[in-house]
Amino acid sequence: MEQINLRPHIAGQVRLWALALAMMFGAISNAAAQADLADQIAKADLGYGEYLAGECAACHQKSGKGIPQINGIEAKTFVAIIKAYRSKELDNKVMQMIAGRLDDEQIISLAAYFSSLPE
Amino acid sequence: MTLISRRGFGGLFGTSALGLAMPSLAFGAVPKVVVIGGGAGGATAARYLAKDSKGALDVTLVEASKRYYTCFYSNLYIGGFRKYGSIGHNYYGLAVNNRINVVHEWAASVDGAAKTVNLASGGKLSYDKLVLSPGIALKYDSIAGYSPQAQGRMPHGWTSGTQAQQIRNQVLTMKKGGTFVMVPPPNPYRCPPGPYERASMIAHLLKERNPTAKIIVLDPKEKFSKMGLFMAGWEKHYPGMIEWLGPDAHGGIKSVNHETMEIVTDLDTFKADAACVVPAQRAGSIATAAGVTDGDWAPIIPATMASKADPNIHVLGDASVASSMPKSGFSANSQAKVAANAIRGELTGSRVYKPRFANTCWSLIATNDGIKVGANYKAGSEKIDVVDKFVSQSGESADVRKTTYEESIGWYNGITTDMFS
Repeated sequence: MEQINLRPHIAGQVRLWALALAMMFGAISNAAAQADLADQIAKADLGYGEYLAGECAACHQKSGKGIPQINGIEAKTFVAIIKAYRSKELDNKVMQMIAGRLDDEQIISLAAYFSSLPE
Repeated sequence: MTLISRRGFGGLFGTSALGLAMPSLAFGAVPKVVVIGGGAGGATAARYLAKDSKGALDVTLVEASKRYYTCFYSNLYIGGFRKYGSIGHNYYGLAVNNRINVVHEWAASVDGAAKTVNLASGGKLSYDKLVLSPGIALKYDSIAGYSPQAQGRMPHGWTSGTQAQQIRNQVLTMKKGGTFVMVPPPNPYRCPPGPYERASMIAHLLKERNPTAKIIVLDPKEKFSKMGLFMAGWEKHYPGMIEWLGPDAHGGIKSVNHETMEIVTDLDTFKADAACVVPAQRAGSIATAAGVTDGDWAPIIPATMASKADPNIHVLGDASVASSMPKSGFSANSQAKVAANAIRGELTGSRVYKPRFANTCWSLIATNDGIKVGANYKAGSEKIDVVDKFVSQSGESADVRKTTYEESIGWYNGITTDMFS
């Protein structure tokens, strides 16, 4: 089973992400699912991701204090976390609301965009 | 060799030969966008227009102040949670990193037919699209006796800067056991939870320095944003210190007198040792001068934030009629991205995505006791409609409240970076 690398900027939020981590092992632990996600990321519309990312940029910036910075985040980590907020398994009212109206294509586009940025 | 300037070229061929269809797009001239107002709406719009168009748009930002003090977090400055300097921002990032032409002047009027902005200094700017994000103007005459003169002793503190400094100073120098009177504005106004966060921050200052002092809130409204949460927080942290009186209790605000420091209501006269009086509000004056207001505010088309009165003018933030979106910095920042996307699409042919809006308002009641309310929205045909919303709950754990406060610090850093970097 592949380990998910929680990047240092997210490490501070480990408590919050613990559930996501558990979920990720369940959700994308098999190779087929991972290959499928990689394929979707590769085909994603970066321009759409960049547009949607405007909503994230109001809060998620480099300092990372209080709100994690997400530039350069691994795509599969991003997808797992956003889906966990969408299903309300992760507990933050703002993020549950923001993720709540993202469909799968939008999540993939955002993951492709943020993972393409330098940290 | 004769050089033809961009403007001359556009004037010669653009307007005379092909002008009616695509005035400045002809022959590759760079379309011009002028943004008036360098706050949460205008700075964000200018930055996203410049950043995303990568030189395909000529972006000018008109903002009189060389240093911008955010209204959001000015209450935390009053309460001592932030240094004054930390809520000030300059336009270096917009000018240098994003190559925006930042004009530190006052925009006096707009000629919508000629598509020009006249500066108070006498200069002129021409535009293909104009973005107005002027924030609020105060309706001083909404309270008898209130005026720009009166705000020296009864500061409104609703436009940040020195007004916020005056309020903090008043609280710090108030006599022992004195009375601070706060008069919040009637709806609609900038920052719905702002007056109540302010009362909280003043109480926080007084609790340590002047614990027998009192705060009386004379509200023209019967209820307010996050009312239950604030009331519970006041009872918990400042028992007996803050007295909130709605119109049922005082009968309505009649007048104020900054010389006697009296606030007269229908049922009583309140003598203040220090006061904060926030009058009713309307769209910043340039919106009226541009002819895009209907009454006090500027109606917009939700999908693009374009004015209903002039398709070449977009109105953002507090000045606009954004239906259920509150007048907040977060809202203005969100609306700016929708407008920038629409304007760029129209002027450069870039893809226009479906508009989406969001807002969250964090408030601080006491040390590590943060609350929040928020919603996301979509563009309906007539109004901006709520999709989903949330609000902090009463009785949340201290951990949740502390995390909420820390999140608001992250948001402040985030939005100011999104506006100015």
